[in-house]
Amino acid sequence: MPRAKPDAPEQSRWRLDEAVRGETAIDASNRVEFEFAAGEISVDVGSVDEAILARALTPTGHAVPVDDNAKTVALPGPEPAESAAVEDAPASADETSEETA
Amino acid sequence: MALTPIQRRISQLAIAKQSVQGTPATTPAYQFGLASGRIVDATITEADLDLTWDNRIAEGAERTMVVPMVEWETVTTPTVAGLLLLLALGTDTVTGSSAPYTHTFTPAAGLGYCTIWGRQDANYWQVSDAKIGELEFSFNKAGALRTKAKAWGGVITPLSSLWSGAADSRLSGGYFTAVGGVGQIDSASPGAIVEGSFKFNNNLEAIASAFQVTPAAIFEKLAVLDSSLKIIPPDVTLWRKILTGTTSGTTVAATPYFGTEVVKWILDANTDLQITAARIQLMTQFPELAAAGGPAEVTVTGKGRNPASGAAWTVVLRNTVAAY
Repeated sequence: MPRAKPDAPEQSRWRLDEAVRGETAIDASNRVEFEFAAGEISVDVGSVDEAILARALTPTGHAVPVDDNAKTVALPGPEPAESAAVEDAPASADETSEETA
Repeated sequence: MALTPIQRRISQLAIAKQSVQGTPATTPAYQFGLASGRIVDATITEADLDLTWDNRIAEGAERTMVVPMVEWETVTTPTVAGLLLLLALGTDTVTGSSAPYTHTFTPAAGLGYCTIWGRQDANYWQVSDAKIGELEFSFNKAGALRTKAKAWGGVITPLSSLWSGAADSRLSGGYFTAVGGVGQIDSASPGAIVEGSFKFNNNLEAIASAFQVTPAAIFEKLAVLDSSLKIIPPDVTLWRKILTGTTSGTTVAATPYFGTEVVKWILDANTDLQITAARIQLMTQFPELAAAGGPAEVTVTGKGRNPASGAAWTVVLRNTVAAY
């Protein structure tokens, strides 16, 4: 007989040595302010809080993953570069003339 | 006819972050003076739009895109620096329950929008839905740490009057210098660091829309940190390390050399700014000779790369601002 799926979401546990607050973007369109107290906390796997802990606070040493669930959260990696060239202006370069007003 | 020219000396910028795209901030957080740049600008892209007719004169042209922008240089003060770092890197983690607060800035998946106000004499303009594309800190000898920034926006608006409500960020409030600070490569002083720069580039792209001439959005691409340090070295161990992989190596390494860099600027005992590159691809040259003699100098350039874990680069700012 298959196991019943638990109603409660899976959680991951994290430790913060000091209280932190601030602002970050967990993706390009989702910008959030956060605040966590010092101590050990549990958050839902896949939640915004977990994304903040994994992406913003773990890389800086402010949060430490303390269980296997937390450790499985992927840290952000860079997108492959389209070009190494640094552009002077973001506008399309297709046009034949360009001037600054 | 009487002429009253525009007084260029009266030039100021003000800036505040936006909560979302499409809603400009109503009150600037800080206002500051400039060393160079323009208080408002726009990259206007136009092209010939030509058809034949019964003579040899061009018929017309088309405007395909206008990207509002602001580019400036100023002296690095502790309040404005934090807001620019939040906008340029994306994450600000604050610790401390009273001043000095410690802000830890690291690269985020996305960047926030900001509103920039500009004033030249009696001309007032606003660029909103903007992102900070480039942010550079540079220093020369013991002088003031400079900030250069470029922002691209989605909306440009003339204003009828000067803004109000911004906190002043002025030289009288103090600015950063490298005096008493830290300059390290691979956790050690590489010699006398004469000058240098750290430039964060978000490689912004203005997203064009066929249904409007200004950008539909400003979007960040590859995040880049480029560093440059001009050094009077005591020996050539850094060059040897970059060439061979170790300070005593004898064979050329088959892979690039990745090290670390830390530079810290100071204002006072409670106010400082530190940039740390956790894994940076370093490059330099063997010192050039000089018939006239003199101390050998080299320039070490670096490109920030992702470490196996942790943030690729971290900027720690201590100041009196509790939250941006």
